[in-house]
Amino acid sequence: MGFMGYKRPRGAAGVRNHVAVMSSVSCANGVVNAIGRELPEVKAITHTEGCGRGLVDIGISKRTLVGLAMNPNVFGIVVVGLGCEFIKAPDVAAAAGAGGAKVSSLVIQEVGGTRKATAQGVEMARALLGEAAAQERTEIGWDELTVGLECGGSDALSGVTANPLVGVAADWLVGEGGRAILSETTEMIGTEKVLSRRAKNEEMGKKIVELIRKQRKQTEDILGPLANLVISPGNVEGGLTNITEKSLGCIIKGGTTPVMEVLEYGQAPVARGLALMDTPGSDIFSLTGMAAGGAQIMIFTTGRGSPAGFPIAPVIKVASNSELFQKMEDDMDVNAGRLLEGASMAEAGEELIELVKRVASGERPKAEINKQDCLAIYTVGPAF
Amino acid sequence: MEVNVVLVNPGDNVAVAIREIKAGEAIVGAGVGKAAALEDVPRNHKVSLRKISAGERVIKYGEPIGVAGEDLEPGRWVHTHNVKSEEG
Repeated sequence: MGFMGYKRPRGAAGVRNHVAVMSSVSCANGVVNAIGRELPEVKAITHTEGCGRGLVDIGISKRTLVGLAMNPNVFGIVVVGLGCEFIKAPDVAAAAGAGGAKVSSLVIQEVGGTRKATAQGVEMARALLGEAAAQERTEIGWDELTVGLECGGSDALSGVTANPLVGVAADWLVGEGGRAILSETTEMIGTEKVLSRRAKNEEMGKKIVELIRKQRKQTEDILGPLANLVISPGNVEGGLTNITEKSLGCIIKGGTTPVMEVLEYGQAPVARGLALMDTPGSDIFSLTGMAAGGAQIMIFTTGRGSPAGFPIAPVIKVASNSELFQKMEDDMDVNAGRLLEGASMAEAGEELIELVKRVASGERPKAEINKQDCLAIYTVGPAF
Repeated sequence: MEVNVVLVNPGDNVAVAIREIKAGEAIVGAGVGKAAALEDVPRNHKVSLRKISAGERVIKYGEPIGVAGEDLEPGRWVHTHNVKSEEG
């Protein structure tokens, strides 16, 4: 048996049936937010990109926006642009539409300003809401599910309890023919040998080594003395002997199956199984990249307590310790701290898998209930 | 007896102390066998479960995190002072 999801003609089914309005450029955020205030059930997606960047960043941003419009959890979407920007709303709509998304666009300068654009956007989104409400959930196989894996606000126990627990769920989904995306290249530094050994072939292994080496160099070049933060004195005092041990504690979220694919930021996986995505370690950038790559659910571990969610994908929060689970109970879904209190990995893993199954069929995790809609698009260069 | 360590992977030769363990205390946790701490082990730090000879790999997450810089009897505090890092 699989999950009860929303079939999509373009590919994998959704675990949600969102209607969204998204800006193609930050100048359109005001209209997007105005539409969102009129129709609170619509997901209003705003960001800081779309113009005034170098070509590499424009490419990343456009791929990300198109990917978000095509995410299986989106029933339909209106892309709002200004008119004079680099990333034009009709172009985003055309690319996502070519991929099968139900998408239309609206250009503020063409329509004649904020009020008219808002009114037109409200009508377009309202029509989509009506259509979306008519769609029912049907049974879908687990092979259509992609889960994004994330850790943020980590503590000394994240790599001992929560991350290994998430690895159990990743292995389960891959075993069912689904996909798991392991991101955060910064947090793979020191595990080049381990991950390349796990690659499906030698070529993929080389690609992994190259990817992590590039990230290591960039981290050293840009962070300078701060690069030490990757393995800080605090980490060492906390019991981590070196960067390899620290990073192993992060990549264990991906479980134990072979690495089938290496993805660029926001790129959708083709192969089934475990994929690595090149994202920064910073949580919200990483979540956005994985959602643009088609992840319908995120599993997010935290030790200090991150409440972050994502607008169009439910985020399941796994606390690394019981103290956090109790202190931030409104934000946490699973207590991996139970592993320190006698629960077995198999037992706790089963509990997490059952929650993933229920969330896929509609149960809302805490971050979704709290509307913790956090989104940020990764950039590599300066703004101009 | 109360659990005081976690074995992350069944193939590991070190476990993680979930509270400070004092010298002489039994090491208690699922799958860790029988050993007693030979020295104090700080909270969240590693303790050896089996003899790890000098030059032998220290295994956590089922993967090598470095090699033992000296012979480590079961129950030793395992950290930067007695592990040589080799980039994984």
